[in-house]
Amino acid sequence: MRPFEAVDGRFVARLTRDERFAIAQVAEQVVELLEQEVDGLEEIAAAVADDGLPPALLGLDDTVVEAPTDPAVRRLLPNAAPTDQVVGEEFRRLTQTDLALSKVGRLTALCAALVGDDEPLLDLEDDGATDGVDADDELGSRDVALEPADAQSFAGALTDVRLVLAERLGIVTDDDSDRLSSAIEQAWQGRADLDPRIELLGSVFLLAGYLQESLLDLMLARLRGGAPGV
Amino acid sequence: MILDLPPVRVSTDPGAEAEGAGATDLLARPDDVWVTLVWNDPVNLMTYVAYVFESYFGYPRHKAEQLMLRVHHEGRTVVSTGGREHMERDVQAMHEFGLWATMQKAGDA
Repeated sequence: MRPFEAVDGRFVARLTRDERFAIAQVAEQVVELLEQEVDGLEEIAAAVADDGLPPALLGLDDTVVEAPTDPAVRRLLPNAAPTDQVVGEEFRRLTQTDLALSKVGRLTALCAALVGDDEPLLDLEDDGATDGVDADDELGSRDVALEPADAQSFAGALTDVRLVLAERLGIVTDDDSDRLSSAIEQAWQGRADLDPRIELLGSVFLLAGYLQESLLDLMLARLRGGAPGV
Repeated sequence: MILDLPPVRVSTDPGAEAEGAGATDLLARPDDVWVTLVWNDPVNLMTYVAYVFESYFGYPRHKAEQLMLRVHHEGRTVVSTGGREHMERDVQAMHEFGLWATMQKAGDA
């Protein structure tokens, strides 16, 4: 991976096919989790895609909207008022669908930015997946280019990916996070043997973090008005 | 708005002092003042949290970084104060960014 840098007014990173597909596959699964946990989300997303507007009656009846049962989704859609049940429930009723919808939208955009139309999201083992595309090496490396205006959504989607991975990896404290990072880095250097699932999820967690960090440097520079050429 | 409040009675009677103080506090209507808290989590990068505080709240860099450090070291901090609806908007925005935020009455914070 080459982290994000400013190139001709855009933010450009370069990732191998494995890196791009791994992040995109996790992002797709986060979308699936949200759709499983938020009632009617798929239908509403389809209505928004058709009409550009969400149904107007959302959240206007008094039905209690249940909190997600999957702890990872609960982290994406947390209880806004743990000390006040009425306020917390009303908040969930009025905002949960919108919030989930916006997360699904930017996760989908993240996938689209990472994986080209010409390379269906196939199994990582399938070496034929990117035959004949514009990748310039055998690793399927490609540029991932963002308009600065889209960077915040991209960074937000990376956060959602990392939040879900952290829950699955049992990262609760800052120390857990540090321990995972060093274990994964050791595995990358071939100096440690990890459970393959932990290594895959942990690698995406780290990769998404590095990517986000480099993007944030550019976003902060732009926000503070210091970025040349942006 | 201020006319909705009961009059503040000024009294020289020491026994009425408590009541007088209560009435003065009413001017602040603490029940109407809420806060948005952001909690530490092991996932979000410090630069991301600072970016959110700077870009969403429009806080100057120094203040955004101070708040971010307070979240990191103390586990949580108040990032905004205001009416309930205002805090609901802020909490929703924080959740959209992926920060762990809650709201509560200012008096309970």
